[in-house]
Amino acid sequence: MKNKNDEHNLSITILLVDDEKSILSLLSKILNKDGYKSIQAENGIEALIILEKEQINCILSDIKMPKMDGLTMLKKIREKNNPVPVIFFTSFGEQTLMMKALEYGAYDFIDKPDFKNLEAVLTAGIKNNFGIISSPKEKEASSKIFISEYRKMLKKLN
Amino acid sequence: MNKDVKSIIYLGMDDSTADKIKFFYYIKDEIDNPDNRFIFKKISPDEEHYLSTFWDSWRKNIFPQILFIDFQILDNDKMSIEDLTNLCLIIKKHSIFKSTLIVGILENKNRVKNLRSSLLNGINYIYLKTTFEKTSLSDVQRIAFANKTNPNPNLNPNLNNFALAFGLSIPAQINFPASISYFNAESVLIEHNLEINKEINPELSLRTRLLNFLNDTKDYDLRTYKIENLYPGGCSFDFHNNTLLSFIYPDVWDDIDDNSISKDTIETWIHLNCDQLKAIPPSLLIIDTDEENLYEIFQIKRHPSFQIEYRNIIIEQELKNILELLTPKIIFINFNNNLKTISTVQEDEQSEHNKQSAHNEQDGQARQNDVINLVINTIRESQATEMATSANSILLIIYNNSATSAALQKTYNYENILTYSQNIKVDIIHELLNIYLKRNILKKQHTSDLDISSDNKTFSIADDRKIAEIEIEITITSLSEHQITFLSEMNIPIYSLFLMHVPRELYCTIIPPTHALNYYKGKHHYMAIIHGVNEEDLRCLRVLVNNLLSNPIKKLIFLKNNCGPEELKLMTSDLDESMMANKKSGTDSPTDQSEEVSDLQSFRKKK
Repeated sequence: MKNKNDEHNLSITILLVDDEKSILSLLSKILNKDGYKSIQAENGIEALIILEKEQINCILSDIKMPKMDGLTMLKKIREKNNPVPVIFFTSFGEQTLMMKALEYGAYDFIDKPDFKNLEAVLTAGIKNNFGIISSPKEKEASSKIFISEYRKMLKKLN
Repeated sequence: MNKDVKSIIYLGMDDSTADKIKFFYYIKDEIDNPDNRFIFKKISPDEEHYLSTFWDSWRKNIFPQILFIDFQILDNDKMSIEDLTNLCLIIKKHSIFKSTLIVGILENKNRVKNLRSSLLNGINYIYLKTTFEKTSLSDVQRIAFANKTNPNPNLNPNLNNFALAFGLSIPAQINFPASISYFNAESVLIEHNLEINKEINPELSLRTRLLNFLNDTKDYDLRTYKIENLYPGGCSFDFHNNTLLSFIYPDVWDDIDDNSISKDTIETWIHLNCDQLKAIPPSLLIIDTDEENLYEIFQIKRHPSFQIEYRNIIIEQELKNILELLTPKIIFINFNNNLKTISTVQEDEQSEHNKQSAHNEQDGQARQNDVINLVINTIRESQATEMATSANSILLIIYNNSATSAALQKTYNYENILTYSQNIKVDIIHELLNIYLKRNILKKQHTSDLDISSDNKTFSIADDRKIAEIEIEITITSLSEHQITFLSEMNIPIYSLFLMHVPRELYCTIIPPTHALNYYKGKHHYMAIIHGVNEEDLRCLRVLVNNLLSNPIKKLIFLKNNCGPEELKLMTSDLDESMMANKKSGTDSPTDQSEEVSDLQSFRKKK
């Protein structure tokens, strides 16, 4: 049964990048169920080609892939000044990879292999425009969201 | 910028002084080394947005070797002492700019006395407008370009041109400025430049105005404190060490003298002065390598209710000091700092195997270079210490980063991280701080019903009582009106500024010696330039030096204005005849080796 969010999500196209077809298939089903449109790629090179042709709102990607890994893919995306948000799948113990991903401009991480926080990450990301600021209005909105987060954090700390 | 180009900034409103400085260096430039160039920039508080212009000069790679600050800018509300202090501290805490020599220009000696808090600003040299500028500016050049100057004897008023009394052995005291970070009825935490060995010297003589019951006097209280704890490394001011001292209270069976003090007395003093004392403000730390943000950071530091520390690069020891001694509530980190420290992998040039290896190889290095990692690891380490009771609640705000807060929390396994996608701006930062203050109204108020003995108090930066002086014993080995050499057991950093109250109120800066100074019986032998003196000071020093050329003295006393040789007899009274005999034979002087010195400076001429 469609709801308001599903209708909104249909305008969101997500590029899924993973060398494991089973994961691509799984994620594709989850996203489609939530009303997102998804496109699949098996490595970074395929993803870059798709990115050139399609209007992609968000990329969900594995890091370790043949031919071109996720970090290299992200680096090349940013070299072209493309701000498309990139969310990586990560598992425990990959701190260095995550640090490098952040350095290259990653937006967030989703737990692998259960992907349990996928919906929450996407929902919050869409709400915040994935941190992309392209107008003074968005800049102000971003600051307000930050202040709100700050207040919540202070409350928690106290 | 051409590395041979030297730049000088004058911040002030006195065109005459600015011109003197400008022409001095241009003239020296033409004769000394015509290939070198000087850039001279005058910035006046009369100009609109002068502070923005000032920081622009730093940002545009005009890293000045010398910054002259004319303290006249403190008049007519052109600039506050707090602003001046913040300006100097941003410079002195910057890994590149800290080598800039800061010269304080003051109208006269009285002004020096009234602005002692400037000693906390990292001022290395005091230039009085009433003195001969050639001497002062040459001294400044000598200090600023110590490794590069090609002194021209025709232009430099060489140290040799002043009458010098050497072969001396005069006991004296010198005083090193220290900042009182906080105090209570039991202890005092100070920041200073001396390397102290607690095992060798378990006590320290400190001159403060802590116990001055009559606030309108400038009298200092000199007493001995017990050294409780040492914290090597800097903290808030341009000093290298922190030391926790405790008051020494007499035990029941101890003799009481005039200098004895009880805990009740200190508590009474704190109680009487509580309206002038401050509770320790909450602090925060900004770590930002981007020089474009200097002006914003300067404005952020103006927040009246927070102590705001700024570093462009932070080293672990200093971070530990900040965490333990200042317990910052929030640490702001520019995410772009990390991008400059973590090396990138050349993926295009590597095979698949090498790519993975490269990622792994970078593991330790990346973690080590990552500022955020350094901060979090240091916070975690300090959690184990007694003092860092609030370490768990330190909030990290990472700006210039578009990732989610959750992403960084997960990456660094630290819950209290927030990300902010935009650059640091004074408006947003001050808003955050004000929100913090509203939520956390300061518990320590200036009322008398608090437990005074356990509350830490401090003075504001503009309060002269914030300055203390560490007094150490020295032995003067030579003296002129321009320089002094002395022996000390203490290890003192080069270019440290110190004061002498006797024979006159003098300021001195330790410089690399111009000739070999002998190492005598395990003591350090130092040379210092005398500055911050007026004409009367110089006259008194000449009288003293001329007297020393023929009459040894046992101790120094303060020389009043218009003093003459008669007054100096007080210094020679009770002189041991055997000392005089030994002096003539040269057997008792700690600088018997000064014969070597005399090869270079052996003339004695009267001015």
